[in-house]
Amino acid sequence: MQDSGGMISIRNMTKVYGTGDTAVHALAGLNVDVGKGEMVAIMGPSGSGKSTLMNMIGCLDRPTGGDYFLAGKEVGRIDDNQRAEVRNQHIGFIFQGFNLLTKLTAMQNVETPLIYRGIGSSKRRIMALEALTRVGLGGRGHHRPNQLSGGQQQRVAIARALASQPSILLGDEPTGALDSKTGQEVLALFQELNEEGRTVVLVTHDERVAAHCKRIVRLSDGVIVSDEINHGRLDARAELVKMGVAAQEVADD
Amino acid sequence: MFTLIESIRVAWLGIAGNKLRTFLTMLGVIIGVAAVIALVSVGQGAQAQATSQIQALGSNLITVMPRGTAYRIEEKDLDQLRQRFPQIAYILPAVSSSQATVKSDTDTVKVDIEGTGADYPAVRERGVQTGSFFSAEDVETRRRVAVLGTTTVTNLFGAGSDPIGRSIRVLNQTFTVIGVVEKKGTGMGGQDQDDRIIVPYTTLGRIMGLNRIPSLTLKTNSSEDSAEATQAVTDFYVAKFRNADAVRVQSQDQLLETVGSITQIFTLLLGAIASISLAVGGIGIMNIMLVSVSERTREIGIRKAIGAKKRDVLLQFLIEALILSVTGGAVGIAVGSLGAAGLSSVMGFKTLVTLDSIMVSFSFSLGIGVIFGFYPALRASALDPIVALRRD
Repeated sequence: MQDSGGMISIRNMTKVYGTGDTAVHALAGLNVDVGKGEMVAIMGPSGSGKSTLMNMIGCLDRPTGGDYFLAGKEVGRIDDNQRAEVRNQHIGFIFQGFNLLTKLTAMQNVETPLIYRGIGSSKRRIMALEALTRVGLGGRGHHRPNQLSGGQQQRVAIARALASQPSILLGDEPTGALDSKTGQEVLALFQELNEEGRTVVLVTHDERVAAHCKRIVRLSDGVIVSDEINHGRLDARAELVKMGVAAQEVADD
Repeated sequence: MFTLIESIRVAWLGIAGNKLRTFLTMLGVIIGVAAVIALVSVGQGAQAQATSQIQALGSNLITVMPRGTAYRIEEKDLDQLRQRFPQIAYILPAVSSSQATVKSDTDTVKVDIEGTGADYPAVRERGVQTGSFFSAEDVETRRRVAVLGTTTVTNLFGAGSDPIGRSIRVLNQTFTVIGVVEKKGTGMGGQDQDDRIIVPYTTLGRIMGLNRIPSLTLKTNSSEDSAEATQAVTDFYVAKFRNADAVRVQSQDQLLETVGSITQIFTLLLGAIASISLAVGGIGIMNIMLVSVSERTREIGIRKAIGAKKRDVLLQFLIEALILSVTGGAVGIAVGSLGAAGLSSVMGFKTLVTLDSIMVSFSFSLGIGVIFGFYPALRASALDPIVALRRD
């Protein structure tokens, strides 16, 4: 395990839905650590607790028991407003369905988390443009989501996640709604961002997505059943070249 | 920290996205505020008109009127009042006969006869435009002289004719016309103040067989004198009849107050009726905001996932409601003011849009935005981001 100071440290985490006989133990004393600069896939069949774990890592939900340290800070037992703040500063969400605000332009979408952080408009615009440029959409800032392709929309979502300089990029089936080529492009982008030092966690059931990560964690019945380094890691960019797409085109799109 | 300006910007984008719905929602508030403005303007106009008409009767006046025929105001009272109360500048007795038959050589008309004293021009601030008014001596000797209003002149002798020196038959007695009073127009209650015949009260009292004076109008030189004289004359008649309710003594200030409070009730009543439609407009806002919150569940989930706090979402939806209600209020004020002007010109009565009614209805619409926008905003802010994101 690559570790340069734990970014995520989860200890004995439990999550129980309901009470009594009908109680469902979605997480049953789960332990996991993710270091800075890792690229981890969290896998498991439906009902394995994968989505619950993703909600916990993303600070969208509160665990029933156990501890969660994010970037050195206990975030498992904080209140709703503090969780909103943690999401805003430490988590960059990338969803399967992009989840862009449809009435706003790409630029405004990327600016939104910065608005909630209270950053002034001129600085915000610089940061948003920087993030859009990083994902290769610097010239598309004024487009609305419905004027962009699926791959472009997901890249706007990645720019939105990047703009606030989060501790981790947290993807929930980020290629699930994309065709294989654009999915590959998005994976290439994740790999690049990881190479730049960003911590990436992808929650997926897709083996091909997991194959691009450095480490694969598998869940079943709310606990981790395997946690191994992915030695035969795939390089998305090399595959794109194989697929006959020039790397430069991808970056410029 | 999510600043107010950003909240307004985000809220504006939310509203601007659905223009037709936004307009229809505002329409409820527009109609409500416009109704309040227009109806209150009718009340305020009536008040202003009543006040100006009372003031047109003259200034610092006091009316003295017995309650019932058992209490008689007599000729000798006048001298006593004059001697005892120096605050009283003029005393004008009044006798009247409404819709009496009056004939000239050519025409017969029904007209109000007003019996009064020689001080009429000073008290009523209304002189003669031709001829002269009758003198104190005319009053004392019960001379049969008459001063006519301009409308009456036209009715009796034809437009533009000179009636001075001509004879008329009033209640079967022959009077000589000696003057024409200044034109005054329509009075309170819409009667023509120029359709009347003014004669000495002594003469009219004799013809009608009165042994008393039906009422007096006193004039003082100042508002303070008027208050003093009102009290003094009240005391005088209480002592005379040994009955506190025998004679009503009312100063013009008191009358203005009474009329003011009556028209104020009228105004409030109209305002209250119109407020109902404003409240309905507010419910419309709540309705649409609730629909909007449920339609935008996913948007709320996204915003929360990327860091919006409850307060940020609450503020966004509350400000949306406020923009709707305040914009609706502003448009309503404009529409209501136009409506007031329209009512005035079509219906012919005076309307008055005051700053007060604008301020009140504007703050009312602001309040409606807060009250009816709060619950939907609270619902939005309380949404669980996980549930909200799962919704399509």
